[in-house]
Amino acid sequence: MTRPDATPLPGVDPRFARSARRWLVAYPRDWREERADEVTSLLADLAAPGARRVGARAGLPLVWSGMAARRRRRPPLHVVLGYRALSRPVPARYRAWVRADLTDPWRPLWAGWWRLLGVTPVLAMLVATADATHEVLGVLTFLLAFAATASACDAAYRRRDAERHLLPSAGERLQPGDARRAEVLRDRAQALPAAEAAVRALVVLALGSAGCLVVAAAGGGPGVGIAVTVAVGAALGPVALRRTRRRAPLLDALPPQPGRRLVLPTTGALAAAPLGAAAVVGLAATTVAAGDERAVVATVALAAAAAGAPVLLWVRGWLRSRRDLAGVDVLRALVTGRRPPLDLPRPGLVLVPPAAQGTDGGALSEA
Amino acid sequence: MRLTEQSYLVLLALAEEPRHGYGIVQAVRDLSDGDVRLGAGTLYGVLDRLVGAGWAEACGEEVVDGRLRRYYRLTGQGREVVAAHTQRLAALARRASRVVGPVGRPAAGGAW
Repeated sequence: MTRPDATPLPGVDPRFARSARRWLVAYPRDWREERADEVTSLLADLAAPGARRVGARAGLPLVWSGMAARRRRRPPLHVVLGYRALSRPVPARYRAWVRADLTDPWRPLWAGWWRLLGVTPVLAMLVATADATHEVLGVLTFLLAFAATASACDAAYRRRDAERHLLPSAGERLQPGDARRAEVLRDRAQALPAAEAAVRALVVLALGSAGCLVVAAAGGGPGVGIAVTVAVGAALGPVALRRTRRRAPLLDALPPQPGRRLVLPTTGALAAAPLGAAAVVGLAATTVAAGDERAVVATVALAAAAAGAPVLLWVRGWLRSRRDLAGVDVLRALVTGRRPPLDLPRPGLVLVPPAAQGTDGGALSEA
Repeated sequence: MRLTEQSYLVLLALAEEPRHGYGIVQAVRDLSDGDVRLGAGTLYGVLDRLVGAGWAEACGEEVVDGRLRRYYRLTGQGREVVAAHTQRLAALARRASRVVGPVGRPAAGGAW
């Protein structure tokens, strides 16, 4: 859709190009993707021959100009607030801003918080009036669970918001940068990055729940039940691993999937599993602080981590040589023992490319 | 949009012919007799505003010596703006020269 960030310009020293990209960071991301090469070329034209980096004299105006570019296209505050907190429609002239917002890979990590705006006073009051540790921990757990859900639902939220804000209304002329309905390839996330995120979640879960159990044990809780449960979990691990290894050949020699596009999971989506694990740890800590001497949640979490560790670690290693597998296929094959079905194109949205991409800017001349 | 000296010079540079970024920088330097040397940050700030106002537009790109050149040209509206502003400046210069006397001639009055 756009020129990727790392396109080498053969006429520019790569070190100079990297330095130029660092100075361009203040511009909106889609502006950079579209025009970084052009600006880098100009900077190289203006620089002394053989320059290896962009100096502050040329760089600082770029930072300033980038901030101004962001300011210029940001809608007024009440429109931003309405869009973020209440998902209200944004006037058509701010669509470029909405589009950049919806394609931001970090979006799920911060956009979800705006939906909490309404309950912020309640949460603040809960923390301010909390007279016990477990109440504060409870609020923290809620926030972690909320962040995990927002990350996990990221793709669905984006699709819904794109439908609401980027589709021109009836009778409106389709502009560059708008979205239109079309049959689109089915996006499937790669399995390896997802498996790596799952391993990170496992580490959070194991360390966090173990920490809770140490605290509970120091408080004099009974240790036998905990030890038995965790031992059972650890014993289940090899069993699950055997099953997984038996089913892995289902993923060999898969037929091609012309109706599918294999994509890298977004940074935000990858955060869902570790955040979810952190929320479980938070719940465990809350129950321990609230006086649950047997630390049930922490025990179950540690047992689950012990059971899942062999499978997850093996799958991650196994996927390293199979980077073209989709996460959903791996999950389906290993859990249900079925081979992946064929993906079909489905109704979706495509973005009309921005005008500056074309070799002829004629589309803008009627403006 | 307010027309600054830099924006006016960029419009003038584009009024002559479609130019790429480096071409604009050079044309502006010539037009201003070497006074205004645009950097990349200033130039793209100006270009963004001109394109946003509908006075200029991108019109194709090419790769020369491994460097990307995107060309810009004036729109009809941009041409009107630059003509109107030039007339205003010319009228201002006429009035100014009535006030301070013709430029380049010694001022009237005694000297010692």
